[in-house]
Amino acid sequence: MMATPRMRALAAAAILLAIAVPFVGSDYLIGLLFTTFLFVGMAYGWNLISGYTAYVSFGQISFFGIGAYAVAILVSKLSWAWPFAVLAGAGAAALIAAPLGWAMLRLRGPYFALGMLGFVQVLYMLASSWSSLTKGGEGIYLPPAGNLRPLYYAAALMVAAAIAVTWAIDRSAFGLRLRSIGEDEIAAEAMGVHTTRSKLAAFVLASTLPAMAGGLYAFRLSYVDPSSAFPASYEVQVILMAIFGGAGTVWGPLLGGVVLSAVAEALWARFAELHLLLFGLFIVVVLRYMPEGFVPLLRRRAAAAAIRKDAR
Amino acid sequence: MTTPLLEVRDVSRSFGGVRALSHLSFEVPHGKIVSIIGPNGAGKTTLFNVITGALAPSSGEVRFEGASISGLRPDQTARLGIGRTFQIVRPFPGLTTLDNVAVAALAKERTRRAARMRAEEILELTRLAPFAHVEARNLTLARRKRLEVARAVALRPRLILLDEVMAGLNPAEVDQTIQLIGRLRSLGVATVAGIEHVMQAVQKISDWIVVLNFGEKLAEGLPAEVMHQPEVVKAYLGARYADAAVRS
Amino acid sequence: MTPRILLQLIVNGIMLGGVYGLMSLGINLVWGVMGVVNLAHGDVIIAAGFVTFWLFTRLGVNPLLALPVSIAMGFTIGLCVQKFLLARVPQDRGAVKTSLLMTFGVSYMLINAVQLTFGNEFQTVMFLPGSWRVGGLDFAKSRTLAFSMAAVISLLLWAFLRFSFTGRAIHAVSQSPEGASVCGIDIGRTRILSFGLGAALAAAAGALLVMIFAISPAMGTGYTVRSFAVTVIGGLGSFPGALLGALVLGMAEVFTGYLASAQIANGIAFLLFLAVLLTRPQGLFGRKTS
Repeated sequence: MMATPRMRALAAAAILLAIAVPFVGSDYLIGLLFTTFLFVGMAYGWNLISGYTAYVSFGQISFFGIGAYAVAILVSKLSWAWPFAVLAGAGAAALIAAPLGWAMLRLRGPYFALGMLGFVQVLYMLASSWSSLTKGGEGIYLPPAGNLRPLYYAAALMVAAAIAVTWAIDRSAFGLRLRSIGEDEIAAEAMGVHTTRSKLAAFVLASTLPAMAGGLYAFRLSYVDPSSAFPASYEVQVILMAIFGGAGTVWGPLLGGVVLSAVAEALWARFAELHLLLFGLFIVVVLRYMPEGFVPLLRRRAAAAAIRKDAR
Repeated sequence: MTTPLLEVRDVSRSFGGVRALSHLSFEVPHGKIVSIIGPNGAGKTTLFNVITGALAPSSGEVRFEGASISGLRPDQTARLGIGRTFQIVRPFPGLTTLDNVAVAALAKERTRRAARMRAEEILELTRLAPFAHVEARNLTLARRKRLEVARAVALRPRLILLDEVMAGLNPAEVDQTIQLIGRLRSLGVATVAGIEHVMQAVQKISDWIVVLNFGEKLAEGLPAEVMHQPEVVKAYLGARYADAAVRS
Repeated sequence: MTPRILLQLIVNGIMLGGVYGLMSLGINLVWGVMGVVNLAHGDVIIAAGFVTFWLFTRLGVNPLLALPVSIAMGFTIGLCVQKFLLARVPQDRGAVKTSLLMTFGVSYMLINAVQLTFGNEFQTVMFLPGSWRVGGLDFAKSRTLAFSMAAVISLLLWAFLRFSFTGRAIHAVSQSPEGASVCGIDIGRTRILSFGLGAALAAAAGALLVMIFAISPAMGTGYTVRSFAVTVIGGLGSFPGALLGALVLGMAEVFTGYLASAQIANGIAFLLFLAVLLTRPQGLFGRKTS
């Protein structure tokens, strides 16, 4: 689908625009795109584990919070530079995701989902009570971010990396194994797929993206406390973006992330108090009427059009 | 004599109070076709699950190529060279026929491209090549059964366990499956076929028969011998087949 | 810790466990009958709590009289979700994933609806302040009342499932849908009723809970986790298991709250949930289902 010259031109234009915005765009636009990139990155993270292997995770914000606190602590207490802190946050998330995933991924679908929901609760509780580390409810203050541009480019880089990694996995042996797990885990095992290892790899990799998003977010906000580090509304938004765009595809999270960020921004202006309800409603509607998401839908229409063209 | 390819040694398996397998022992020589016959519930699928490692035996041991494989996981036995099909077929519904087979080929190939090439060869062998890019959920039952076999073959197995692979097929399809199994034998692959009803297949292709009833081995031997044994005829084959047994 | 404190904690744990038991009966029912996990369960609990609060503070309605209102609301929500959403999901291998995600979406809709209608603050219902002193121990009046009502409702549920036709139909469908339909039971309708009943039980628990604790709209997820933790500990499909699991969690929370902190007590549900799933997945009394 991306191979047509028209699409390639569009993609090139989008990339150029993305690079140019910090120089020609308003602060508002830069901020909006920054937030969009964070969400797109998180959507790619969810996509890697839940899109391919069908283990529905509701725990993305647990890693987001880990990334946020990692940056907050490293920058404010140890005076690290923020880029290294963000990467360290990703590392911390991966280190935690490994044993967590090992414990969780042996649970079947609903149990895994509940487990991840519960894990978020536990992290929230830890953040609130482990005052010596996290200052509890008081929160950690960071030095002000200053110029937004470096953060913007960092976020854009994160998205580019997410797309590249997903693209590579999608066409690799690893990706095929992940898909087989998502289709039928028992059959996959019978066909020689080391399901535990594959799932775990996807889970750990998937944890780094929300962690980086959380780190960047924390630095931008200059403040981290339990409720800002684990924002419940982000979970539903990220999942909605990935599903709407198309779970298990390379471009789905990008499409879903961009479209829904724009929609959310428009909604926020007018229906701020309703946004959770609308996201929830939207998830339900998408699942009911287009459960595969937008990208597969587009693909099928393109295929049908190609067949019709051949027939003429 | 060389070591048998597969040795099932005194294997028992219980589920709560139910004895699914009871002190079962038999051997499968290299490159031979052994049919396990028995009515539904006799324990064929449980036996296959124990052999592949999906279930642990309550007691006893399974040896493959001389080494114990008890305690291995299904993916490990698959990579060692034991392929299986499922009684109720389990294709990967959203993957194409080609990719279905490619997943299994990944057990022995390193890259996806190599796996797909091997998968193409196997699709030729099982006459599924025209459907290579069709999603598995859109295949007819007979083709799905062939796909099950194709996937198992992609593992480059030394042994294939076929669980009721001919159930639900019409006579022409049964014949095609019999030919396929014969072709596997000529490639040096041993087969254990679990079969309930399709007696013509049992007669035609088996080198050896093991009769299972309520998890116990009732009899074993060459097809012609076993079919005549009175306990077997009485317990399983029934009066209808007793005639066929006597005549053959 | 003196014996008196120990006993007091045990009493508190039991009383909390009673309400948790009611919460988890709804889960047990829905999960056991339909294999569906309702992630909005905790939010129904909270919604009912807020409705009860509103009726009490605005209209002066006795919470016990308001109970049927909450139950009716819960039942309606459950009925609609099952009938219009979950029942329309194609029953293929993706069905579990889809129902998880759908109820997740419903959960957010409920949270927002509660926030819009009742505000974001913590609220509670001070219905029966004070406590009775029996044998040197304090029996908080509100907790005792909540516990008693939970017990009564659980008993009624048990009787319903055991002796009524619908109840036995529900039991039949949970054992074997095909078998039940062959006996002439309308599976679709039974499922709708079960889901409605599950949500109704959640609502009842919420209406009682608000008398004991202060609740806020954001707490729903925590109660979803607790309800499932109880079900997992006790074992899926087992009525006595659910009650025992509830007692275990109630005790664990009360003791942890005393020995450590209230915040850690909040996280205990998850830790128990995980511990049980990793060591004894069928729980205390559960049957080993597929």
